[in-house]
Amino acid sequence: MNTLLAAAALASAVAQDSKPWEGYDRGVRWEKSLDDAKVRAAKESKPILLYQLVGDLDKEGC
Amino acid sequence: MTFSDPAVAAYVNENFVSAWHNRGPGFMNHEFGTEKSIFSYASEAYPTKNICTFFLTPEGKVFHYVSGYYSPDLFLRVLQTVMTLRSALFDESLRLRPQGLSDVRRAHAQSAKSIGETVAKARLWDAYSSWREFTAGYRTFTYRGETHTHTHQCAQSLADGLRYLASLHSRWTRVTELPDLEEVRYAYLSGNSFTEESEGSRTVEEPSHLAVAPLPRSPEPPPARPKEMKKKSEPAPTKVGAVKFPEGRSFAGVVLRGSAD
Repeated sequence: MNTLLAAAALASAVAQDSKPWEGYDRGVRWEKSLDDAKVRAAKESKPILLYQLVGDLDKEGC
Repeated sequence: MTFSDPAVAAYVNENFVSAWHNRGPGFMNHEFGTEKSIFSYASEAYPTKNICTFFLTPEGKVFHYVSGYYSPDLFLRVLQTVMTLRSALFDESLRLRPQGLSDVRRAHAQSAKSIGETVAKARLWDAYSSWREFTAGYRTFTYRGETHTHTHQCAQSLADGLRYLASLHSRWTRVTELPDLEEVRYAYLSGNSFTEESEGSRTVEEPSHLAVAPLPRSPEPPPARPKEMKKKSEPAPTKVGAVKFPEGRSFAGVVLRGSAD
């Protein structure tokens, strides 16, 4: 079992190294568009955080 | 990197609804060396105009922004400040409070003063010898196998970031109307001019490069109170102006005091 877990962790690390930008958008719940964010923000009475960058957050670095 | 930090992600998800926007379609960054270098050696803050995080209402009114990159701990402090501004400006339903704008001007002034005092206390003119004390409140962390440890360069980047944030708050102390996103999303204050552009990128203007036009004179002050009730008056603004953008655009939301940074 431990061997399997170690192998899975190694595979995950290798996969992450092969996609250097994969972790950039991890953790935060990103809406697909600003318009989608506006709808949910109005419903939940929360302000919007809009991150503007050069590049795609889910594909590459900035 | 910052958004992948669990503490940042949790705070963002609890208090905000998030979206991202690519202002440079077609730009592809295939190397990791630059980011790795910034992360490893000087990563507390890099207030470049390359990226900007806007905070806005569901109706699209911007009530704050910060340009550039911030380490997780510094970005958390920025977010906490944004929540303070949110409370000053809006009620629980995000409706503008009657005294919201005046309260938020005070909040910006307090933030500018507080950050300025932090920078002064750190004696950043001698950051090389005081960097350990200055960076003590900021975590070291690991990302993609790289561990960031603080050096004197962190103190310098932290100083750059804090000076930028203080300057930004000073700009907002004269806000008279919340701008629409489109008024500021390509014309915001940044701490340095580094940017990555592609042919499809929309260029970002620097408000500090723009002319400052005088506003109409303020109304005459009310008559003085009786002597026994008189309170200490606030200092009058030294110079008041509105930011003007090129191409005939104007930034009606933020009004400046004093000279451009």
